[in-house]
Amino acid sequence: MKRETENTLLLLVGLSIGLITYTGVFTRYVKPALLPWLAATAVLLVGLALVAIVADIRRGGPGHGGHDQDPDHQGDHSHRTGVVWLLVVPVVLLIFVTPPALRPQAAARSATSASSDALRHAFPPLPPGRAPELSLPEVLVRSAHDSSGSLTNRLVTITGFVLNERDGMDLARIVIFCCAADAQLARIHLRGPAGGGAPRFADNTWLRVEGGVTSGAPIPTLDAVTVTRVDAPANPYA
Amino acid sequence: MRAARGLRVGSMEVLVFCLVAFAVSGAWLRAGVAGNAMLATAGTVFCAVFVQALPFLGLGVVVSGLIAVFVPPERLVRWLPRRSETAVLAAGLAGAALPGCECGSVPVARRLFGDGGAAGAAALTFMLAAPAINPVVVVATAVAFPGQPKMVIARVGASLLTAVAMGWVWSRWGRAEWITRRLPPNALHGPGTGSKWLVFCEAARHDFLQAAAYLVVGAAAAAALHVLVPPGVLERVVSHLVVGVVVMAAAVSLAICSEGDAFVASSLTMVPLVPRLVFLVVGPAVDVKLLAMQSGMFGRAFAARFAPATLVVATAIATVAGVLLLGGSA
Repeated sequence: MKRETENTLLLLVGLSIGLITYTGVFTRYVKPALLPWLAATAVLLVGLALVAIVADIRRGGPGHGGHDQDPDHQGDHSHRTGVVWLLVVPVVLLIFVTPPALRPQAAARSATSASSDALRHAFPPLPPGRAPELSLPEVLVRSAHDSSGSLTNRLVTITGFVLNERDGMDLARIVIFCCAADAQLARIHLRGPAGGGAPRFADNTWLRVEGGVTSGAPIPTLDAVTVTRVDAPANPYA
Repeated sequence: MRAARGLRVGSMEVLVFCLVAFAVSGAWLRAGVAGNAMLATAGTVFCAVFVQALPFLGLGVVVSGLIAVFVPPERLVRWLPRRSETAVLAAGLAGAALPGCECGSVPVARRLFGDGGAAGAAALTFMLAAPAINPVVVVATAVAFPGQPKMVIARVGASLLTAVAMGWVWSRWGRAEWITRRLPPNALHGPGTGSKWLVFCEAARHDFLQAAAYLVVGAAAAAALHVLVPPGVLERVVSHLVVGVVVMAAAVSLAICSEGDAFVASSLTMVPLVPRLVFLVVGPAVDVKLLAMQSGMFGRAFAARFAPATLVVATAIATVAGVLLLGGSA
C-alpha cells in the first residue's frame, strides 16, 4: 500500500470516529461518558494524517515523498503494510453500515445485582418528589443491597422496554459497563393494577412506569400504578 | 500498489473504488445487517470493541511517539536498574502509572522494547502490568466487588506477579530472532530527519496504523466468538473448580477491556471466586485482540510463543493466589 493511501485511511478512520461522535451513533457501542475521549481521538487521528500528508507534499509530491526520503526503507521493509487495508472494515461499518444497538436477546442473561455475598449497606435516600425517576440498575441494586429500605412504601418511575415471558411481562434495560461487548440484561417483573391486567405490549415497546418495588430473588417486582408508552431514549443502554 | 501496475491501478484507486461501492450500496447493506440478528449483533460487538479501544490506542500511540522522541532505548537502559531482575520489577511497578486499556500498552511496549537487549524484558513486563494494575482498574475492581478487598489484593498481586514472571521468563529464554517486525529505522532519532514534532507524528502514525489494523482482526474475532459461543455456556459449567478455571480461561476469547471486566466477573455469581479471579488476571494479559496486536507489532513467531506462555503462567499464578487468599470453595 502506498503511503498516501495509508494517510487517507488514517484520515478516514479519524473522520468516521468524528462522525459517530457528532451524530450520537457512538452510544450504540460505548458509554456516553466516552464522548470527550472519542472527540479527542478523532482530532488526533485527523491531525496525524494531515501532518503526514502536508509533510509528504512539502518533500516533493505525495506519490514518492516517503520512499525518496528513506530509500532503504523498502529494502528491509520487514512488516508488510497490506494489513493496513483492514482499516477499511471499521470505516465502512461506522460510516455506511452503522450496526444497530444490541437487541435484548444478545445481552447476557444474568441479573446485574445478584451478587448475594456483597455486604448490605445503607444507601442515600431517594430524591424528593412523589415518584422520583430512577434507572433500572439503580432500583435493582437498592432492592438487593439497601439496608435502609429506601424503596419501601415509595413510588418510583422507571423507563425500560417490554420483554414478554411465559408468566408475565418484564421491564428491562440493557446495561453496559465498558462497551456493548459486555452488555447484560437488567430486568424487573411488571405486575399490579396497571401492569398485569393492562393490555399487553409487544416486545421492545418502551414504557415509563410508575409503581412500588417489592424485593424478590433473583428478580424484584414492580407493582405498576401508571404505565405510559414513550419513545426509545437517545442512549439505548442504561 | 498491487499487481495491476500495468493498468496504473494503484492502492489509492482501489480504496476510492471500494468506498464508492460501499457508499452506493450503503442503504442495502444497512438493511441487510439490521435484518439478520446474528450479523447485527456481530457488527455491533465489532464496532463496540473497536470504538472502545480506539481512545486508549490513541493515548498509547501518543505515549509511544513521545518515547520515540525523548526516550531512545540507550537512555532507557541507563535509567533502568543494572540487574535485569530488578529492572523487570521496576517496570512492573511502573505499569501502575499508565491508566488505560491493554490495547494502548502494546505500542508503548513495542517502542520501549526497541531492538530487544536489556530493555526487552522490562518492556514486556510493562506491557502486561500496565493494563492490569493501573489505578482505574483497581478502583473498578473495588467497586465491582464491594466489601471484598481480598479480591482487589489478589487481582493486583497475581497480575503483577504474572507480569514480572513473564519478564524473567523472557530474559532467561527469549530470543531476539522471534521479533520479526521492526520499527521504521530512519524515522527514529536519526540525524537530520526533521524536527522532533515530525519524528513524533511519524512514530505515532506508524504505530497507530499497525496496531489499529490488528485491532480490527481482534475485534472481528471477539465479535465472531460473541455470536458463536452460546451465552449461557459460562453459567452452566460451574460444578467443579477445575472446570470453572478452564472455562474462565476460555472466556478470555471475549476480549473484554480491563476496565470493565471486573463488573462482568462480579455478575457471574454462579461461578466461584477463584475462577473469577483467573478471569480478571488472564483477561488483560492474553485475549484474541491482544494476540492479534502483539503479532502485528512484534511478529507472529513472538506472539505464538509469548501468548500461550502468558496464559499458562497467568492461570497458574491466579489459581494459586486465589486458593491462598480467597479459599478454594468460596
